[in-house]
Amino acid sequence: MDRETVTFALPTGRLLNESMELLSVAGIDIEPLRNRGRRLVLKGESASFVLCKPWDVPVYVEYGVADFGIVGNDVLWEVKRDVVEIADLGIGKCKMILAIADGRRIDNFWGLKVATKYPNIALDFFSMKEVEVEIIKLSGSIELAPVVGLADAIVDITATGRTLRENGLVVLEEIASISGRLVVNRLRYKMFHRELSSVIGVIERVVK
Amino acid sequence: MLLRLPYGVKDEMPEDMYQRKEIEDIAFGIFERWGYLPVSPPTFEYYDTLALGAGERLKKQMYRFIDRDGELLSLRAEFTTPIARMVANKFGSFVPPMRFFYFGKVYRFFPESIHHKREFYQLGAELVGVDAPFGEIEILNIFIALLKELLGNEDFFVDVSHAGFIRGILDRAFKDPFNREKVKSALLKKRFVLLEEILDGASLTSDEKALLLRLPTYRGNGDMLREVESGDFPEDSIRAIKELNRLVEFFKPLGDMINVDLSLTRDIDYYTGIVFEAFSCKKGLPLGGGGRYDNLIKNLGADYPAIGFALDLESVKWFVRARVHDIRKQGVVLNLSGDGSLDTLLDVADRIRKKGIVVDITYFVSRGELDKYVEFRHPARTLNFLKNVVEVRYKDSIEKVQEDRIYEWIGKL
Repeated sequence: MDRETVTFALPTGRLLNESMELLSVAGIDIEPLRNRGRRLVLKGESASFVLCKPWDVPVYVEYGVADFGIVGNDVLWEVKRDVVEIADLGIGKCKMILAIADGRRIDNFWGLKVATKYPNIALDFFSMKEVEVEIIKLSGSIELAPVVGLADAIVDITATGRTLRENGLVVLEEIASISGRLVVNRLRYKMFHRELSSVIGVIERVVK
Repeated sequence: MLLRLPYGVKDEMPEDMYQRKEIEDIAFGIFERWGYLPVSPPTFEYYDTLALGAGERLKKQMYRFIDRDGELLSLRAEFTTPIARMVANKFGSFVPPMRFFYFGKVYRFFPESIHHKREFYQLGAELVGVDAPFGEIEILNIFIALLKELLGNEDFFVDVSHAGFIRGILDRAFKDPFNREKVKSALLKKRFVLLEEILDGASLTSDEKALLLRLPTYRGNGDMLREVESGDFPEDSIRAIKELNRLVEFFKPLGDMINVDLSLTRDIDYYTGIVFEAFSCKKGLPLGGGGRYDNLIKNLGADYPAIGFALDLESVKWFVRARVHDIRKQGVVLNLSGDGSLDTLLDVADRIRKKGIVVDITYFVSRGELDKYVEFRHPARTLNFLKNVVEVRYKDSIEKVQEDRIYEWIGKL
């Protein structure tokens, strides 16, 4: 390969600590990540790291500035980038759910107002059910929407369900299981799969 | 006021057009010498015709609209289907093999990705009426010849696969077309975690499952193919592998330029045999590709085997320098100042153009304005027609030539 080390795009936020732990168990030198301060590009012995927003991890990998990325399949599903999804890392496990206000009765989904950070996932989900709904894109605190009457329901991720409960919401349907995935650049994987296989192999052995 | 353009389309500036011309000239020459004839189907035609050749994915990417008489039309999203229609309808009197090439724009719409390009310029060729392996050999040879000429070196590689290999596995394992589509879609989108979930419980041999889940790693040469050949795969798949192997064997002298990549899945459904795609080594960019489509023309009304390819102009453009553009730099600007003779100027312009030199004419009275234009335009020479005298500027020197001596001066050009 052109470069001597591989580059990982890692998501800042809830997946970062678990990703670091996993890479460290896999024997990848993550010392630079521990002492990163505020730097976003870090070089280690066996790998380099780029820290970016979870939504951007597939972008960095698609354009090949990173060979690998770690990112949830919620993001992969929503942004639909051209990357190879190689392994389920089993980290950052949670569920994509459809939730409504507790006590609210819903007979059918027609014309439902749905607040979400994931408009594409919501659209896919409801078009699978062959109903048309109104989707309201929000950037955060999705649980708020049914409470204040902005929407009838939400499509969001939940790990323990605590935020839902505390805001008086109940899960109506589980849409998908979400977890951290290892993704790799399409052409790098094609051209250098032998070189990349060793990295993939050690990570997979840790996961399994 | 900046008038906006819709996303996914762009204006092509003179530099772009010169580059395109350069590429077209090179391609035209090669195609012609290989016995291919130019054709150009219309930009839009009936959706039903174009959809005959398109898979589900491409159908969703096609622009559809209603004609004024209520008919459903579509912009062409690729050239192979309309050319197949021409072959089926228009070339009945031709004796195969038939060879065609084309240049032009195709239009596609990507519902899942706003900001995606929507207008593409393609050039390509179709070889009709030649079976495997001769068709494959000719098309790959001309494809490689064209890329060598365009890229100016050997900075590219071609990956080949066979559409029948994966099809064979899926046809045997999944009787339900819905499930088959699900697997194909996961393979195409390279979602291997999802694929593992779908394949769980499917009636696949362990060899098939292992291969599908690690498909991108099945890239290599004949050795890899021989390994696959001894595995537990359906007969159709083994036949595809053997055909692929013979082709790779034939192209062995080209070394690393030709590789097998079993994960190569072109996102058009009509391919029946060998498929291929070229990539630039340095940029890692896909350049274009093609494959064999033996049933497409039959579906349109005449039974011919066929194989072809298309190149995306935008991706080869990086490598092509617009040589034509230099002609302009060697050009001459003729300026008619207030009291110069228009007749003489036009006569001089004609004589210089006959030498194959670019001439453009300006009408500046003020020297300042002429200077400004010359600085912008950068001609090799500027001739300013004044009263009875022509001021000739070449680099930093200015020479005054009497108007009646100017023809003599042109002779020296």
